[in-house]
Parts: sequence; C-alpha cells; structure tokens
Amino acid sequence: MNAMIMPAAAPQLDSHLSFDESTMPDDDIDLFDFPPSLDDWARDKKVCQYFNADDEAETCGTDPEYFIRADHCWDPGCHEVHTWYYCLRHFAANIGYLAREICALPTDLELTRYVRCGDIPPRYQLIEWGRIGEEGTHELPHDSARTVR
Amino acid sequence: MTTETMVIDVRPYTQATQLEHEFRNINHRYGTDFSLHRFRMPIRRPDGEWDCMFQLPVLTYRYGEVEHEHGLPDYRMFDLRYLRAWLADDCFPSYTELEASIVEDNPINRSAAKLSISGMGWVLGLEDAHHARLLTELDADEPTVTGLYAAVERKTGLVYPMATGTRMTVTRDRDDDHRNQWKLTIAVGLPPEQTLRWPSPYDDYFGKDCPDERTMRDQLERDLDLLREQVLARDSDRCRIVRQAAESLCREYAATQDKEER
Repeated sequence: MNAMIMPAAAPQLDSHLSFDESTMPDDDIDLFDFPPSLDDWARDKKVCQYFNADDEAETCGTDPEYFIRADHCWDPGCHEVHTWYYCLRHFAANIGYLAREICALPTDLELTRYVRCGDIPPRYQLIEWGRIGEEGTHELPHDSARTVR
Repeated sequence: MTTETMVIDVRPYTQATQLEHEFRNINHRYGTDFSLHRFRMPIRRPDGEWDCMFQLPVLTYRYGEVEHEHGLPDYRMFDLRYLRAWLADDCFPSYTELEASIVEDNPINRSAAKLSISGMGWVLGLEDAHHARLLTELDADEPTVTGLYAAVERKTGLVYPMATGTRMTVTRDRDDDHRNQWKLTIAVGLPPEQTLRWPSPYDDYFGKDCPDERTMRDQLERDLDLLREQVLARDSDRCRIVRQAAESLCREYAATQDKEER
C-alpha cells in the first residue's frame, strides 16, 4: 500500500468494516503539507506557529517556549479562547509589535482601524502571555474584555 | 494581444453624473451594462426592526459555478454597516474576470456582446441585494448612505460596492486576430499608491538581521512591561470611547444573532 495516499486521520468507516490501525502511516505524517491542526503543523508536538503571510511555505517549526492567549479574535462572534505558541525570537517579535504598534494606537485610530471595521481591538483581546507551562498563572485583569463580550 | 485599461475614481468631489458618464463610456467600449445606484439608508421601523438586511454572503466562482462564499460567516463577508470602512481599508477586494464575445455580424454593436463569468470573488449578487432591500436609484427620494455607490452590472447580475477613495479598474485583453472576443477584468480597490501596507512584525522586529539572544531577551523584557502597560490602559479613562464602541459592537452583533436564531 502506498503510504503517501493514506489520510492523516482514520476515516469514518461503516460499522461492518474494520480498519487495522497498524497500517496507518504515523511516521510519514510529515509527507502531508496541509496541517490538520494549526497548533502543530501536522507534527505530533507543538511547534512555533510563525508563518510568513506573504509566503506560507516559510514556517518556523522550532520548539516553542512561549505562548500568547486571547479571549476572542477580531470577530465579535467568536467565543473561543485562542492560544498561540512561539519560539523566543517570534514571541519577542510579536510582543514588540503588539506593544509598540498594535496596542499603542491612539484611540481615534483604534476606532477607525478596528471598531468601524467591525473588529474587536487587540487591546481588548489579550488575556495573558508567558512561558509555556505557566498558563493561567498571571492573567491580566480583564474586566473590560468580559464586559466587551 | 492588446491590453487596454480604463479607470473610474470616486473622489470626494466626484459628481454622480460624472460617474454615470464614465460607466456609459465603459459600456460602450466593452459591451457591459453598468448602471450606478446608491445604497439605501436603513430605517428602523416602529417595532424596532430594521427595514433591510445588513448582512449578505458574497459571491465567488468555484469549480466552474457561481457560489456563495462559504468560508466565512455572512457577517464577515458583507455588512452594510462596516462596508465603507472595509472599502477604505482595502478589505473588500471585489474582482471579476469576464469573457465577452459578439456573435452577430455587426462587430460595431458592442452592446450585443455576450458576457460569461470565468472568475469572481467578493461581489454581491444583484438578486440578493434587491431581496435585502439595499439598493435604490441615484435620484430616489429616500435617504441614501453617503460616500457609497453600487455599480450594478446587469448582464452578469453583479453588484460592485464602491466608496469615496476607491477606484474601479476595467482591463480588456483582446487578441488582434479575434476581434469579436475579449477578456475583461474588473477590480475595485484603493489606488495602488494609497494602499496601506501594514508591515509584517517579523521584518521590523528580529527579522533578517536578528540580534544575539541576549539583546533579544533584553528588548523582550522592556517590551513585555510596555505591553502590559498598554493593555491595562484598556480600563482607563483615556480608552473609554474605544471600550464603549467595542461594547456596542458586541451588543449589536449579539442582537443580530438573536434575530437570526429566532
């Protein structure tokens, strides 16, 4: 059997069919270029989630050390908590960008850039950030994020 | 192959009659059937409901068929309330690729050209827009949304929203040997010189000339403090106006959702 055409996850089969899990190509998952989960880019463990928006083939994929967690994304209708994992370099880049540009906008620009477009400003999205393993230990007071929600 | 481009700019001082004139030119040259309309200003009925639908799916062309864009929820595709900001931010990139051909003997009569769609994204269906009661005539008595126009192409049944500051570019490619056939590309967006390019964070912060780890950690420490300060300011008086706006955004959204569920 050609392992390359096997799906990454076992397909839903009719009950009278059986599927031998030992034939699943666990070791060949790298062959698939579409990530089933954005967290791990089709690997078994979490990897840095950096990718170049202009060239999506350019990813990082090193072991992440840090995380950034947000209550909701831009979308006022999204009720999920999002967590992004990064290596030191890309975490530092994100934090620098957030601190100096995205969350440092004057209020009028924040209104025109985000709220008028129907987006939640990033300042009201962020819950916490830090080293992996410390999740939930230093959440920022997010009363306003809750009331916004 | 000859390529020809016509451009329609909606400037703050552009008159609707001037735009109509330019659309007539395009119709005459390329065989389209554009007419200019306005978006109605929605009115709240006494029972509290609005007299139109704000949110619609956009059309796209996939596997040889016209489909509604299902990748996003409706409210992220087209929402009259945020349309002007999306257009000004270049977040509503409507475009179509059309193939035109004249089957009649008289090639001068371009208005007889048949149009077929070969590619499309982020345009409204004319039927959807009418059903949602979004459009009105240019000279209608009812109030209209300022700074917003709808360029309606009747042969294909498509609506291209345009706002002050946007530009419609119509490009025709024609093979010199087949002068009865041509390809049209229609795109609405900001003029290229005005397009805001938000820089990638990774180019400015630790991009190609990445410093050593120690420098990076030092700067990270400073940035972490700064970010904390910036985020905590969200509860301050200075950000009150943003907070209230974001709250009303969520309330508005929740109300729309409730209505859909009912």
